[in-house]
Amino acid sequence: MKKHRGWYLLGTGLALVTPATADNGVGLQQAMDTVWLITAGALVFFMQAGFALLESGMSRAKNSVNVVMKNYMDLCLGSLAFWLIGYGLMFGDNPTGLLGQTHFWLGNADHMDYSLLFFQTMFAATAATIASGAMAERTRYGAYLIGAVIVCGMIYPVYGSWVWGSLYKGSGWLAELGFIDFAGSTVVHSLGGWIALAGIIVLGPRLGRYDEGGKSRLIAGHNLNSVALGGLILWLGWFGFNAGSTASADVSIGLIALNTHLAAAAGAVGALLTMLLSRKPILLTHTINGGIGGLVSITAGCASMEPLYAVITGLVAGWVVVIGSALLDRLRLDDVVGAVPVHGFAGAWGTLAAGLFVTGDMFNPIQILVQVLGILAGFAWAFPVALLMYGLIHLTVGLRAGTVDEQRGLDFSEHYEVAYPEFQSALLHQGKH
Amino acid sequence: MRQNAALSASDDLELRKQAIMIGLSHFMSADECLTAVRHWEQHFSRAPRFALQAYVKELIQPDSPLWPYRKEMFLNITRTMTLPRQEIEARFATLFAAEIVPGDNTQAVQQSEAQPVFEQLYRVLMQKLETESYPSALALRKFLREKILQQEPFSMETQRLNNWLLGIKPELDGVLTLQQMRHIVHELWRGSCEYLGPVKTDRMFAEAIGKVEKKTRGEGVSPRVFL
Repeated sequence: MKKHRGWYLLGTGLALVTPATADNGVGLQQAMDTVWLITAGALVFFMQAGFALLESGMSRAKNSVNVVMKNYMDLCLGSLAFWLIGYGLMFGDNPTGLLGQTHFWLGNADHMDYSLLFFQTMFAATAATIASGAMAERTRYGAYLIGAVIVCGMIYPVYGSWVWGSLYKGSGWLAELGFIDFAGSTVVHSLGGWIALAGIIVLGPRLGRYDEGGKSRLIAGHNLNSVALGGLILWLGWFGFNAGSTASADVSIGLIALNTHLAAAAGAVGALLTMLLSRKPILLTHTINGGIGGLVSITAGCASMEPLYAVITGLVAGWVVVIGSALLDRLRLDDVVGAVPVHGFAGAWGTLAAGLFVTGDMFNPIQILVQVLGILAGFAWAFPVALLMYGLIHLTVGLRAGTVDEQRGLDFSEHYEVAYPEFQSALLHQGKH
Repeated sequence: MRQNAALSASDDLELRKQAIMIGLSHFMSADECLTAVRHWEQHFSRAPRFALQAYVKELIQPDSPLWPYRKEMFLNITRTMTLPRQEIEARFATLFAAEIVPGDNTQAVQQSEAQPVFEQLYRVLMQKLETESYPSALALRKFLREKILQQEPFSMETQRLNNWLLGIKPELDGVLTLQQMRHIVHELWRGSCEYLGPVKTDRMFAEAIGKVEKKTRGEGVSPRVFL
């Protein structure tokens, strides 16, 4: 994201030149940059489909409509909130280094600003949607959406302004320190993970998730094929997520895309090896989460490390995801899709790895300290604020669905429609059909 | 604040029935309100709050003189549902005291028809639980007794229910309201989730419902009404 500024300044400079006198080469470059940014933004948008498939597949059939609806609407409401407030807080003039103060509800702006807002809106929606999977199967729909709006409108942009702000005047305090988070291992993913962690703490586990002795019970998802398809769609979308963060159609995209791909592959292998070595069953869900963990982890350093280190980063992320899931289970924190280990833990590791494996400046202790500071700052901001937010939502409108609603399934009690009407003979509640 | 919010799908059934009758009372006679609320209880009482719109649409057919008043009817009901409990109860008493004995003929699902189906469902569920895990079934019976009878003062009726829940007596020998039956089934589901896990519980409930549905076909009450 550091390159955004240069790209943006180039763009504003061009805006002063009339088309007739513009240098054709630069104009073409600007057009290509825009095309690339919008294409990448569309790929990031497609990740929402991946999240919806993955999360609904990991939930029981009686809650799958609810999960998809949450994914769909947090994108819609989150996009509006980010345009209205979030973009200004994140990228507006930032004289204090703490948050942006201009460019709210962007209009009458430069073409480049619109492209960037489009691309960044997809990022904000991604940060918001991470919590939905973790909190699935027991969260009230309206209450969740209130949270998603606050995440996109405030929690994500404020931290984002510390790392990526501003595009106009001033600079974020972490950016000033040289914090490396190219496409958002911490800014987007860890933050989403910590918000999810706060959500599941406030909610508590699903009924019967742990037995009376505290031992965890598996509540299997209803469609593992859609989980796999969702994982692959996320993988595809990530090429836009990381390579699009150059914000320019330049030659660095090759390395970024390759690193992204290698880290994902290594993440799945890392998860597989961890399960094999610990003599656990080779679960599809863990394998796919391992791959996504690899993607999350390489997001910070994909532009600044060599492929070998991308592989190492991904491998370790796969291990982090499997161990992190077991840790959460031991703490009786019910994360339906494993969002906290995949996005929170793997994101934190990836941000550290970005500081460890900088090409030409490996293992620089100052850089490592800055990375640790950035990770801690992300947690210190997002977790308590999200805890407070979900706590207040719980006290006012109610975050957790009632036990009767949980029994009936949220598809029935929140939406009054079911996902698979043809197979209703096995369902307790038949919806309106 | 949550307690003051509008009545949700899981709130008190009797109160919601009263709110619907109050809402409809501007447009219908007491008898018609009663028929209408029976229809709601039979087909919409388990549905989410927003299904009320579908209910009103189903209640008033296009050839009815009330057809132009559907919107007012719907708004009346939803407004009444947002009132505090005491106010709903007071209004209901004023409007329907002469016509209706509370807790008696407002029951859409007649207790005399419902109770045998409920007892059968309970029996089948308990048999399934015992087959799955006998210690869990025992623990579950105690769990149920605690949850159902905790707040109740001692009486012969509660003693009979206690004996039936614990499996000491095979027959209930008493009368339960539909709400009480639903409460027992729901607590049984909750307890079963705790002892056997939610996946086994849902599967077991679906099988039991299917079995009882086959057995009681033609008796006018589906076991699904207790869910």
